[in-house]
Amino acid sequence: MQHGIAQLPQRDQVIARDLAKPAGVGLVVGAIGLGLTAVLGFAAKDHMLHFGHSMLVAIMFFLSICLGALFFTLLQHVTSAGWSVAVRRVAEAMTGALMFLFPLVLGFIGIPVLFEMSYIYDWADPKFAHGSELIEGKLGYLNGVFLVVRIVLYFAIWIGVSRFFVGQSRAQDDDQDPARTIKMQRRSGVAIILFGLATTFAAFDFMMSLNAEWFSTMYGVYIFAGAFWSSLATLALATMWLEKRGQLQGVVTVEHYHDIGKLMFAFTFFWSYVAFSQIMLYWYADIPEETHWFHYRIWGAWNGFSILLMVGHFIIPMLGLLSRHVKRRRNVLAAWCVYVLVFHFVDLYWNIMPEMANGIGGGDPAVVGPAFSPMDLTAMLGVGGVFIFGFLKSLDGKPVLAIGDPRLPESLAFENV
Amino acid sequence: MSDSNPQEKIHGVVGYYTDVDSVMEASRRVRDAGYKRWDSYTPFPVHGIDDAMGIKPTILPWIVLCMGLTGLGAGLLLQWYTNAYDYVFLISGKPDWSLPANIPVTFEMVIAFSAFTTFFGMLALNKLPHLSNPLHKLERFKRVTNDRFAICVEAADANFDATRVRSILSGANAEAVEDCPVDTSRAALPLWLHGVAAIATCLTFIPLATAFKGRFATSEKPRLHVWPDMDWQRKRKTQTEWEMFPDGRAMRLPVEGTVAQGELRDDFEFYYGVAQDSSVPAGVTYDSGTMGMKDGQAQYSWLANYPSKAPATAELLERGQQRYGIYCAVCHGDVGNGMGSVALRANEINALATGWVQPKSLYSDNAKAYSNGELYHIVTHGISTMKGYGAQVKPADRWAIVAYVRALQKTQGLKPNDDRLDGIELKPAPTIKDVRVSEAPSDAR
Repeated sequence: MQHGIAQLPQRDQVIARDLAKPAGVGLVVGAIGLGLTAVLGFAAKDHMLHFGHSMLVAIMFFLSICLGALFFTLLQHVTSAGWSVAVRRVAEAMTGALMFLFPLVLGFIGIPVLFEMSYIYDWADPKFAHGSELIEGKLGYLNGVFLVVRIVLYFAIWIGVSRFFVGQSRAQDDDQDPARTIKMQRRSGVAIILFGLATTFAAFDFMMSLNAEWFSTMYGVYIFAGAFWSSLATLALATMWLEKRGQLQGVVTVEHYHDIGKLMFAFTFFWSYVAFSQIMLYWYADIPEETHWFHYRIWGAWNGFSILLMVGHFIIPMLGLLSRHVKRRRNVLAAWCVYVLVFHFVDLYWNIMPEMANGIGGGDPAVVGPAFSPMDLTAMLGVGGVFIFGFLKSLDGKPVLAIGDPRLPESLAFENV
Repeated sequence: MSDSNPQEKIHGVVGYYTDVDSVMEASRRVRDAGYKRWDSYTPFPVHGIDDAMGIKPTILPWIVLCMGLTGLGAGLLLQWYTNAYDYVFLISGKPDWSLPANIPVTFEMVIAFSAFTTFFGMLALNKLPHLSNPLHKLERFKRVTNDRFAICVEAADANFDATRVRSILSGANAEAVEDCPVDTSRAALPLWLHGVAAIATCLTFIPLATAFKGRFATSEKPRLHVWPDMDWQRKRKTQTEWEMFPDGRAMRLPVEGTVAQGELRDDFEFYYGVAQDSSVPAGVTYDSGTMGMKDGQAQYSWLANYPSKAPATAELLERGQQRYGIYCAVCHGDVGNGMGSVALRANEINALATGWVQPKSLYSDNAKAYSNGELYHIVTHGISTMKGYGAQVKPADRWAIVAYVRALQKTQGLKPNDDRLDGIELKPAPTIKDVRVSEAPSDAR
């Protein structure tokens, strides 16, 4: 507008360069992390129980960030948003890591169930399922073959959607064709529905089925809320990192970070809203087969962890992200982004880890309580390395800014009133 | 009114601009010249103009925060007052004041308070609604809603100097600068707005008047059912029939082996008046002052004292006096001599002759010989022709009555040689036949 952008950046100015080295570092860290986790897992002599659950936390952590980034991309198209063009390519690049998480999900979550290995899911063991009417009735859905089919289907949807939108956007870098924007906008509605279905059922399969007797129709929304929350934090951190390396400088401004911060604040509330809605209905109806999942999280040894989650995932970030001054200061926002990622981990840990003692674990989670292990961290390093490798690989040598997007000038001139 | 100073006649000086950059520049110059009473007028929101004009950030967010917190407190207070204080009602066995149930309402109250504060606070801080402005009289100013920008420095400003303002405004590439005369026309509400306000005011009285009529007038018509689905719900009420269950009852019996909330009677002393290791007395027989004999053996170990949940205190006695007055005195008499108003009336109509059993004096040796537990049992289940009061009187109140009966036995019904008299001569106690009840005609009810 009146401030006028002197000129739009040219293609060769925004090419991401020299990312091969950090990507390689990511791959090495990933390999070391996964190797260490496996060694620790064998050494623990608990039938790989802790190994499986630590891996699940780590995989879900980075998978949810990729899915949040995919949703971010779709959301910009479905709402035809202008402000976000400057940072959208970073989110698009994060969805590129889905390709590399696919073998991890298939290898650690899907295939073992085919061989009736119950190191994560109790229902994978026929001996366990036998005798429980609730689980036996679900075995038509919860079985190895169907699970592998579903995993392939989920990733086909996620990767397919990601490739279409990233591909169109990159093609637009070259031909500057506004028709591509309209095409993406038209397809984004269907894509977001497919995304929602795949993500909801993936949350049921990967996490809710840890306690196969329990069920919550809101669980998919709950996982999605945390996923988008943490991916916004990752998006802001990744953009800041790229800026530090000399990319996107003068393109991404404090206004864009302010908006990412606003979404983060909103999704602090959305997560709390969904989490509370889920627990309140169960609390009110007070039916044993529904409340037991919460019971051993809230009334036993996990009690402190539950309070930590409520305070740390809701009250503190709500107050912390409330002020616009926080969102408009890069360093302060960066600190809050790290905080958000820590509590996304806490959230997943609270969801997954109590189930380790349950069922095949042979204990009562309310008595056993949290049992931390170095595997929790090495698994995060392992899967995190793979994620960073996938993210940087899909960014390297390509424009880090959607220079062909007709809304780019609007995004560059964007100001919060 | 004096016309000597021409400056008094103008409302302010207005400068007009054709583009945003000029109006921004002019705003900066006016700001730097130190004027306070002035404003910029633009056809659309201009980013950064608040900074160019030197407008301080609004305090509205802080007001909204305070009101949001007030809403939080109000929501909690409302629910505490209605649910836990003023009208306590057990719902689903949850605590009376139950935080999880309160969160949705509290959340909505925070939103309502914040939203209304934002909206009305914005209006108030902007001094809106503003019904008239002298600028609207200017022909040129009308383009400000379309494609022109304007700045008006008002004559009311302490530093106002028309010549200087004109030069500042025109210095920033102004299209035109003109004086705005003071608007002397009466700024009155249009007539139709008065009409609308009057009609709206009248309409607000309709609900009030309807409610008033409903409260104080009678009507032959059946009541209005505004929400029929709430008036006739597809649910069953307590103690009604329902063909859905084989036994035809709408209510379900407790599951075998379970105890309903507040129905656990594991304190035998308190609930049954027997020692904790005794069995629960039911269907006891009465045998010369001792209850529950079987083959000459006492079946139950009756409590001699008071249970730990209802210790004999002054409060218990006071409560007992009150409860006795309500439930017992009508037959046994205020002082326990068996001459309550029922007994007197029965005597009057000569009911004894037709087989009516006279209420017993509580001072009889028989009555004094009962243990506390036995007395409690009698209050609960009755004895001979006396009905039990267990359904009406709560256990703690039954113990209070027992305590009061004991007090009556200690202080009333003295005999001439009672050592409690300490030498005072006592007139013979009246019997029921001595008491003249009524001068009323014998057909009185």
